[in-house]
Amino acid sequence: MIGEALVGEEPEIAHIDLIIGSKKEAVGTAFACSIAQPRQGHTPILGVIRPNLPTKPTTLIVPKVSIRNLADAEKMFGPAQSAVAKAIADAVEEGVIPKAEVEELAVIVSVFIHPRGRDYQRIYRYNYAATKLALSRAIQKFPDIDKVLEEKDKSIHAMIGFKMNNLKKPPYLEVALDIPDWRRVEGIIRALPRSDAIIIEAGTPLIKRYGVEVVQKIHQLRPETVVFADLKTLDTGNLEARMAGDATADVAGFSGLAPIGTMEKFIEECKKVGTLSLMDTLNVPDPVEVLRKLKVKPDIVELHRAIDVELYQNRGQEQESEWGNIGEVREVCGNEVLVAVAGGIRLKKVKKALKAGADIIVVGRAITAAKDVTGAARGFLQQMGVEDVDQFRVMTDF
Amino acid sequence: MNEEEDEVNEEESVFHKKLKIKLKEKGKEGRLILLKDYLDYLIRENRTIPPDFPTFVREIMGLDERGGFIHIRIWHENSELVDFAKIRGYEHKIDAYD
Repeated sequence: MIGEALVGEEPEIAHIDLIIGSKKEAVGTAFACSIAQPRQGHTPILGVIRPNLPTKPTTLIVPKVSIRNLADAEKMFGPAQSAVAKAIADAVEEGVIPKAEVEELAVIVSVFIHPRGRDYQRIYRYNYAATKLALSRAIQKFPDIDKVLEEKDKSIHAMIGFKMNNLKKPPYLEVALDIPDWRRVEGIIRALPRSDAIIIEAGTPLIKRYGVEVVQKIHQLRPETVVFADLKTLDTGNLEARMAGDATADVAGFSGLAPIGTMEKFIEECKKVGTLSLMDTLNVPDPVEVLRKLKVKPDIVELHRAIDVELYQNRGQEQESEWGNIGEVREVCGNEVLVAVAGGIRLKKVKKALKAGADIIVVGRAITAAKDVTGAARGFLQQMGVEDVDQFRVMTDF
Repeated sequence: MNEEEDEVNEEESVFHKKLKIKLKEKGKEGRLILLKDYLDYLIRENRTIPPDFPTFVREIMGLDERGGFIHIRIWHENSELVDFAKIRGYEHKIDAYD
């Protein structure tokens, strides 16, 4: 059984990784191998409550950070060792570990102590608490897979400060920044509400003026927000997709007018670099036909109102909505695609677009040219029924 | 409300401001010091260089000086330039555009 816990504040913060299991199985083998083969700076030590009083179940403490000097060693062999040993013994007393099984079990605890940690009280208390928490989590097999799947797209790792958003929970509001003036763009970005439901589009004019690296600057201002590089690629699909990936774009867009081979290379390259691909259907006479021809499908298809209206009128077919037959687009992509709708969308059209099946509402000037950018964006989010922000939740405990 | 009425009037909706920043020395030297300081701030604070930096350099070198201040267009009171002015101890104020 495996448990993990992070407790406390820097620099004394405690991070425990722990394994508990039978001495006769893998944990016992790992325990014996580790104690018999010490490595420089990472010498494993037995968990003792005080010298000559090892804890039970027998516990091996492994330092995660290399011990470089006597000060590091004193912290590990003093407060950390004692705290871990006491936590294990207390867990037996509290019934977390059955008393009858203590001679059958072995525990391996990997302990992190920051070299700048100085306060022995905090080192002791944090490591005691983290060991107990990791142990109870190991016994309870925490987290179950449903919890992992629920949290994986919500949580921010405390040491990174941002998260990858794979756009799994539509609807989203895509704010198109087509203004080729960086300081104005910076002002708009700073004024946008911080919501998981917002995608920032680095529009084609912005990219043409400053290069695709503008995406990196946007991510510096909003590390947690999905940024879409609207490249409208027509040629050299793999090269441009790689450039967008290197510039940290979460989504990269190609034109549906490009040769089929270019589009397929673009999509494949996006998969390699961990970027979602978007097909822009601007001026594409029949987006569904193009999608049918693609061996690999894009993650997102962006439909533009005017073109689709014309297409379906010309075909004499009944259209589902003014953005075209969104259902048909989904079907041809095996129902594994997000559909974005663009083209003069104002507040009053939001509900209509969502009802037609749109996952992403693309809005430009209605937000970027508004006197109150924050209020305008909030208005769209409210129309979309998006709940308030949850992106700053850092789940370190449950 | 029809589509036209629903349109945003861009002229009315512009929300830019100006950052008035006092140069540490007058003339060209003061501007060069400002630009060196700004670049130093970006590098030391581990910030990505703004994509408009070449344009910004030309703009700073060409701006009029008014009582030792230069007036830089910004669109938000928390812009990176305002952060820079605060952190590097430049005398500054933010005004609405006139």
